Amino acid sequence: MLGRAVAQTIGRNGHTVTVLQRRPSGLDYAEIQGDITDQQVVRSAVKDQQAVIHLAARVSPAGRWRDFADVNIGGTSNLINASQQAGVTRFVYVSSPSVASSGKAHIGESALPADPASTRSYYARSKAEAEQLVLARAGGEMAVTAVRPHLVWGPGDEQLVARVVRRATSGSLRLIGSGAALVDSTYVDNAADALAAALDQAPAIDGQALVISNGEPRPVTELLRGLCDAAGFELPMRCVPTWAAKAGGALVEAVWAAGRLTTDPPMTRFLAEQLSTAHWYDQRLTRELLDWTPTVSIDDGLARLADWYR
Amino acid sequence: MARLPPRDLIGLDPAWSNLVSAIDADGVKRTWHVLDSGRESARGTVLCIHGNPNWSYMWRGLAQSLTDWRVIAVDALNMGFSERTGGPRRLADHISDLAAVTRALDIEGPVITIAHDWGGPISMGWAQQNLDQLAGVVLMNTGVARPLAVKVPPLISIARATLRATCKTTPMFLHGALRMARPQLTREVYRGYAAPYRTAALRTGVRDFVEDIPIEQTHESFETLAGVAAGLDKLQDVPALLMWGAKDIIFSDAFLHDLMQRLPHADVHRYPDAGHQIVEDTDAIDLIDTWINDRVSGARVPISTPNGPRTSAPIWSAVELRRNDDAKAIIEMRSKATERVERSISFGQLDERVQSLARGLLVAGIRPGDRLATLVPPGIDLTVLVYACLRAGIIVVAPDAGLGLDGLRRALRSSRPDYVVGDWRGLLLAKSLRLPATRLRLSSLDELAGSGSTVTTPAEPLPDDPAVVVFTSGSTGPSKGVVYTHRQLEAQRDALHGAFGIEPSDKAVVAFAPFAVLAPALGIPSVVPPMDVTKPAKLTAQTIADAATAIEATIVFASPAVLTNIAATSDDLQGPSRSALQSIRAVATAGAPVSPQLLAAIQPVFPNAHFFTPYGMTELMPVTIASANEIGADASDAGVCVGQPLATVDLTIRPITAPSGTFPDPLAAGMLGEVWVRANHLSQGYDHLWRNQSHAFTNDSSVNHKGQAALSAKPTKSGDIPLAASTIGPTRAASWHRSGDVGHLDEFGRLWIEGRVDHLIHAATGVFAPVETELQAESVSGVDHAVAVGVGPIGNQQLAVVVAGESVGSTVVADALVTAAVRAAVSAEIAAVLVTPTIPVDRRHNSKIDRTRVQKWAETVLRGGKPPRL
Repeated sequence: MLGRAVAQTIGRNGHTVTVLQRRPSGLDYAEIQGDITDQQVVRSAVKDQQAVIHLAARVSPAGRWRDFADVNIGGTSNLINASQQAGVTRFVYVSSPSVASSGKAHIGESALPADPASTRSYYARSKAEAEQLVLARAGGEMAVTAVRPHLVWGPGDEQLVARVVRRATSGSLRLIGSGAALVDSTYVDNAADALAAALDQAPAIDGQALVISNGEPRPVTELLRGLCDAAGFELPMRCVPTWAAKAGGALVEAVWAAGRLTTDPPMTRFLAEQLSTAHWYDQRLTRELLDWTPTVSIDDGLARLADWYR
Repeated sequence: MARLPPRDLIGLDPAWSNLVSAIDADGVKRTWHVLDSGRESARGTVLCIHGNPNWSYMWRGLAQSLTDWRVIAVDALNMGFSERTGGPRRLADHISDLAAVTRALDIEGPVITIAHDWGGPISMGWAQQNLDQLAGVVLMNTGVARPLAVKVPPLISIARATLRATCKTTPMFLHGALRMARPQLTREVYRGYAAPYRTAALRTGVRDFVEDIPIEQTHESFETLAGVAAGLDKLQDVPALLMWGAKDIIFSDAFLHDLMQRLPHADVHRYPDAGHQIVEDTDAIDLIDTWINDRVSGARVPISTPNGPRTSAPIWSAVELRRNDDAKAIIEMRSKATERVERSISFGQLDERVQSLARGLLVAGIRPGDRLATLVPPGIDLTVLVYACLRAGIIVVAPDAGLGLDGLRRALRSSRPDYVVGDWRGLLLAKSLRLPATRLRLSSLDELAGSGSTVTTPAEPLPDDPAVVVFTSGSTGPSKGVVYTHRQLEAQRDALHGAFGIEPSDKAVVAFAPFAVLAPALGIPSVVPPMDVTKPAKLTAQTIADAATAIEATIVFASPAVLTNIAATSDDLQGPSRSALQSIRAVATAGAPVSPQLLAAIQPVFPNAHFFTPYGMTELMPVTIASANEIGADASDAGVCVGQPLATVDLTIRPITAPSGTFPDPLAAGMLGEVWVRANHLSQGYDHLWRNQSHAFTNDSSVNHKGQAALSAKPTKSGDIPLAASTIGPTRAASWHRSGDVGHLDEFGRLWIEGRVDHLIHAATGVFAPVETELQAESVSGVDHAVAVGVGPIGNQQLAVVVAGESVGSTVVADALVTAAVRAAVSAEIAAVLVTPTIPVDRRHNSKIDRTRVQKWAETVLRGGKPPRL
């Protein structure tokens, strides 16, 4: 969803866009199909490009470390090496705030350095290592930057919205704790605008990591309620205590790992923490450096989501 | 041999470490480890002396932050990284060693000594020998003599009895002392402190120091210490700061008190929650920095306390003037319907009892300037006691039962009274608090009064002598003691007299404790209804009517909480009771503003009364006295209108962001800022809280009068005539008080209060006050109370609105309907709408919202924590 929105945004801004996808995108741009773990494909994709925005990642709450490492670290490594060789001058890596999340609450902080050792999931750890890999190239001919959108949602979203809706319809969605933890989120169009802005500002923000969000944190209950409302479901008000969710998450992770299951697990520790502790960020520096502000508020975004579901 | 410390100790710059050699008193060459920040271009030298078990590591923060001064911190011989001499060093050795080091370093110019623990006597010994250089002294958690009341601290006794095992062979004493830090030291800092004492041989000095504590008179250091203590009177013109961690189990408050008597001019800052390791526990370094900038100019200036000429009549003079008057001065009511008048006293009797008790207190050995705490309920006895103390020059410590038990304990500990007078309950309380004060039974006062009747009248206290210590409510942070001098009390009486338009014919019902003591000073009779001071809201309309009938009252003093209950119980009133309330010409409230709803409900009960709401703070009361009748009708602006300042009060609005110690220009009308006030009835300041004092009381002699222009057009009320013939002089007190309240002035010069500085919401988009948001949220039907708080870091806070009401549900996160309604009603950006069953109010007034607690609660739940109890 975000990749599509970014391609359209920078295309509208007058850039010539090429997309590298595993499956056909259905977009009106030059397209290369393939996997970023394939060096050959990557080299041909970045050939003659001036800038690369890297959004490809394995995103899943569960799975084996190898699978995350191969795509998120190996793939990123392929891409940045190839980009440097091809003379690309701007490289924007789409990261995640979870790369600096050790399970503690984030309360109005700005982006902290990625810390793979303290991350709480394979996804976050692989993204953190990849971010370090990218930012280590700062100071060269190619400007590198990491942009970390927090909880992206919008029409067509397969990560947050679709999961919440699936759970809500199957009756397996639970609120954790009092559901009051304040969380930031990002409407997809705002994230796309911010990435386009990062591309424009790349030389000025070489080597930096920036968190982006709508800058409108909400209690997690209110956010989920809004997403369910937009999709036409009522948010179930069943709650689980935080400790139970974390313990259950740990158990589920063990079972999924032992069984090599690839389906979505009902709960993980990472998810339990994300849903029960505050995660909101200082947007002042981000907005100043990117010369960007979100144009779609949460309320407007929810209205658009509701339209999309209708 | 002396060594250099490891280079990787946290916070310690290896460049500061030097080895300095000098010849000691015995002619032996010794080597010391000395930290030297090396700032040669400085205003002078700060000489830091550590205690035991410690070393100059404790002064690293000072070396870092005192940029204008050269900071030198010496490790005593056998301690830290200084030389191990092979024999014990006694106090006299340490003093001469320090002199040897400062000679070797060739320190010239002004010197400020700063010392902790047993470094205190060493520094004082050095100071007395170097008076010509001495520019200031700072002492923290130390002592120069064991106060009589203090037994040898158990920890020291144990250490003394088991010297070898605890101090040398094992690091028990070292670790015990380091673990006294509150909160615990981080592992890195702990490592820094322990670094020089890793082996038993290196810890010999720790043992020697404990052994050198002269507990008995035969101890070889006893005479030296006694000499140091006696020599402190040479420092009476040297700026001094005493800083104390009150939870120190060795150098307790008793040692602080002892030093305060030896250095009566010293500034005192007592940290109620810090312990012995005060430098680690608190912002002590920052305080020292502030104090040096404020108090030490480099050259010495004599410290004097000017006691100016009298400007108003003494506080007891209205009683004295009526000494031949048989009219009732005070009536105490009791709750039984049959015998409603319990006790009374005439003006003549009151004057006589005050005079004789004043003499009796002095006969009993209480001296002028001593502190006496009253744990006596409002009424005749309390009034007699307070006036007697004031007359005799004894300082009245008046804690407020509304502080709650914990608040009372903290208040009494921090103000440290020499005597406590109470009824049996008060004395039981004093005993359970283990106050080191002499306890006197209330019933024994008659005896004291009798014993005093033959003695000549004591000398009157001087106008600038301290008179009372009262306490802030604690709804805006920990309760603080506030000191008033006689002059300030007299000015306060005059201000209230004028503002309420008191006539000699007035008679008052006093249902608000502080006013019970005030009425005789205003020269009017008063009646005290039966009240439980912790639950004032229980007073009914009938009780008030009975009280009013007993005295034919014209004025009622009550808090809004009491008025609310009066309104709620007024239907039961019978004809005569009703007519007694019809004679009331004025109802004066205090504690919190009267809401328009309450005003509408209470007006029919007092149909002929004018409603006055004073606005002010414990530090300055009143600032304004608004007529609720006028203000209720106009609530068009942001915040709560409290009216125009009194003619005797200067009031300006200044920028909220002004750093401590600055004096910014006032803001224009309409702009939100902090309320700054100045008046002759402004209190002296905070008790034993120098830091708060230096922040909130700006003593600016080049007084800025810009603020007065906006207020000069204000009409002077006809009632603004001081009680006494000698009126308030044309000059105003020089000190301004930053109140911590925020608000703005409107075009008519009226003040609108919008909350507290601490409760402002510092959002990324700007700073705003909570009141407007709250009023908007309370317009939503079903929302009875709303509190707006900021969560998150200053400058990037999010706004949370906490609501309570019967129909808003009980989940922590408000339901969709309530959330939507509150968001729609409020103009500011809201992150979260939360619901709580009740909104806590502070205990004293039963009416001020405890925002700090609500803020903490919101912060916890929005972090994802378990909702605490509210």
